[in-house]
Amino acid sequence: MNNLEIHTIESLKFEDLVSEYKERLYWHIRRMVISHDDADDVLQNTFIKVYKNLHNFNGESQVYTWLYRIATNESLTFIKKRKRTTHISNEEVQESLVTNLTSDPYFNGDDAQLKLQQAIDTLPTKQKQVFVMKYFDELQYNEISEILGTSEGALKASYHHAVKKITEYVTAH
Amino acid sequence: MKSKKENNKQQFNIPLGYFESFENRLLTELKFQELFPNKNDGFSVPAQYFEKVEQVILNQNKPKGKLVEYNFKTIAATVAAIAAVLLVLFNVVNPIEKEMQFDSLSITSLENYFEEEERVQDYLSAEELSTIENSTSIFDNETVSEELIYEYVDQDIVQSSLLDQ
Repeated sequence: MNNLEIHTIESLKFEDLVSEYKERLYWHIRRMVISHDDADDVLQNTFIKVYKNLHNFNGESQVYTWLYRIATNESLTFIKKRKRTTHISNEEVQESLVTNLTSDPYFNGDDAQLKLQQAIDTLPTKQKQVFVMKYFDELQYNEISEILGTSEGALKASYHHAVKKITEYVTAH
Repeated sequence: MKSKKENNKQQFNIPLGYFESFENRLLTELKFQELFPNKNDGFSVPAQYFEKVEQVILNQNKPKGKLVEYNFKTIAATVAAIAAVLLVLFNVVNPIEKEMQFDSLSITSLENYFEEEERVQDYLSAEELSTIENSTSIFDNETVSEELIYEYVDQDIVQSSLLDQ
């Protein structure tokens, strides 16, 4: 169990949450929005929302899954807003970001990692979320279920489909 | 006696088609791990980013004094209170009219009031009515025609008194 999942409501301090969770939330957000600058904005928005709603946290979920849910929602809101302001589809924006990863100063992956990002980019939003949470963030299905509000059975099916599609994409390219 | 293996078969169930899909899922996972032996996404961050961003977030969310939440009721009550105070002050500084006295009423306005008021006798005593009548022209002989008098006085009483004569 994560050492911070034993936090009680009474012991929640905003400074501690930022200190403990900023990196994990950043990487989750970064894998969703791709660009570092965008991830930086979304991370700050996430903690602003956490700060404003800290008194509303009722302890029914783990602290981490609560934070993760806010970060996930903020990422999706950001992606939707970006679609409205740029007047081009999310898929086109994401494709452009992934295509330009080679020129991104904060991407230093090799060819395999670049292909992996391109393959992830082809996935539907839900499958992408499940894959990122399971594979990179190493969350348990019950935690992902709590964050996304989807049954564990459906999550397992989504993850399997995602892995299969990625494997097929990388093999074909 | 049933073997342990048979017992397990009866006690536990599995999802429909589990063994058929298991092989397929296993091979997919093995192929994926072969392609990506290291779990790395290739992303990086600027130097000292996490130290800096923590400070930025904490500075953004520092308490800035007590926040007062306004709503429509609060605003309406405040505006009403200010308006009431201003109205009182205005009346004190510029009184519009003094307390109304009977003496200050004009004769014409009194006459108009009584002409329009049909049941004035319900509200005034006989003495008061007499005083008013003497002070106004509404009951002057010149203004009261004979027809009006006949209408006012019960016709039967007049006729019977004439017959008696």
